[in-house]
Amino acid sequence: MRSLEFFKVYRIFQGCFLIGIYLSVFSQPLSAQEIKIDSSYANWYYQQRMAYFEQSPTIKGAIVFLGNSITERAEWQELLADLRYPVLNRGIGGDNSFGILARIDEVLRGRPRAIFLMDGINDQFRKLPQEVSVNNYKRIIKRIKKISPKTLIYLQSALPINEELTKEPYTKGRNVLVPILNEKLRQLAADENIPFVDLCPLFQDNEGKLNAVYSADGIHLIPSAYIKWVQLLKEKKYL
Amino acid sequence: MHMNRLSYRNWKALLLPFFLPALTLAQSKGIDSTFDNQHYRARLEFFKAMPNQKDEIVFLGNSITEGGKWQEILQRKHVINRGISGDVTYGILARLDEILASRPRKIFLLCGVNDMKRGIPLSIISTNIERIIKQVKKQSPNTALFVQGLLPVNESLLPKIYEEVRNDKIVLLNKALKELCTAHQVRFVDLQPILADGNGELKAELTIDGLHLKQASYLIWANYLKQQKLL
Repeated sequence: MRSLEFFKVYRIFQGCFLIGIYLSVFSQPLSAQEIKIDSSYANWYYQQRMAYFEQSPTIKGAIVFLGNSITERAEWQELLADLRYPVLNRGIGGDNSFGILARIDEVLRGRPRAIFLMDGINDQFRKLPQEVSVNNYKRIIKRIKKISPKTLIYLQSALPINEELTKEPYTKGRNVLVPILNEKLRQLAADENIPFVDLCPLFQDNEGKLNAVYSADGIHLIPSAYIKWVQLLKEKKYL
Repeated sequence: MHMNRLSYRNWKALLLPFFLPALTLAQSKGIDSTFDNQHYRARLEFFKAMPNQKDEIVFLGNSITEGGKWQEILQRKHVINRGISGDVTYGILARLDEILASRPRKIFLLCGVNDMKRGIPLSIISTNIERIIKQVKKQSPNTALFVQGLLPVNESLLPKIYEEVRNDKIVLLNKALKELCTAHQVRFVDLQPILADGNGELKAELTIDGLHLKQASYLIWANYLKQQKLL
């Protein structure tokens, strides 16, 4: 069983490696500079979250929150205790669009009622070209539509960051990329005929940075900020 | 938060004569009883903002509790996670009013390992946990309190910051907690049988760093609570 797990993970790694090579070869004619694509995702944290998802019973017709650490850190079930549907947290700290694509079938196991997808910032941290991110998003959406056509898909914007609060070098100079990515996601949502949920007005300050009122580290939200997030989803009648 | 801390200090002062021996020891060893950090405040702000529900089942503790997706595993709407990463017995005492305000149906308590990490003597840790038990019984007598014994650690995997955390101490503290539970007629839940290997170490395959659990390990824990008919 363990070796099977390992084999699966290895296969995923291998697959990504090949995608990585393909993309870097493919992108070469477009740009004189070599674009390195880091498509890795299956770190130890990802693997132990996946092990939990796979060992959990299948829950049908759930409201699924899918994304990275910003999704993972919310107490979604408590925030939505009044809802009559089960709620699942499918956030994985550090996850990126390659990681979500690789695990989308697990998410679709229970044919969710709705998926609230948020990703993007970890792709920016590793300087993934936005075309690649958007293409991954597109593949995620196509896969949901194919496997579970009745699932409602809500594409949520990436959140801005606040570089005055972040410490990590890989966060520097990245906030300017967020609105550009979000515009592409808005377009993708329109093309795919699904709602785009812009969370930026809720959490950004006048300068387009993540409002320090809602974040201690410049990337993540404080627990009570999720109350506003859920309120917005309810006001829009998405929940 | 500031208010809480003040009132807690006053309350402690009132009890001073009773705990004099312990406090003297505390002072000589320089007990670190602080708990009020950014994460603690942010989590508490959220707890206060959330409405009290009827028949809450509360998981109360530190990062080990916070790391569990309890509502998801149990699929029950009134389950709430009241773990705060890094929390110590002092921090739990200071926020117990907020927990008890809803008069929960059940509380699953797990704490003490961060106190041990700071080198706080076992007698003080168990005294603090006794205070928690007493306060629950007094303020919310209909709440079923389950005091969970500290989880074993895997000493060979533990980072150096946890050098004060040792299984022999955990066994001793759990013994004291079990006696406390008998004395106060609350249920003690021993998690060692499901998590420890033959040598009393936390099973390596269940843990991230020798102390925290992998996500899938919570399924084993929750199943055990169900098997014991506590949930």
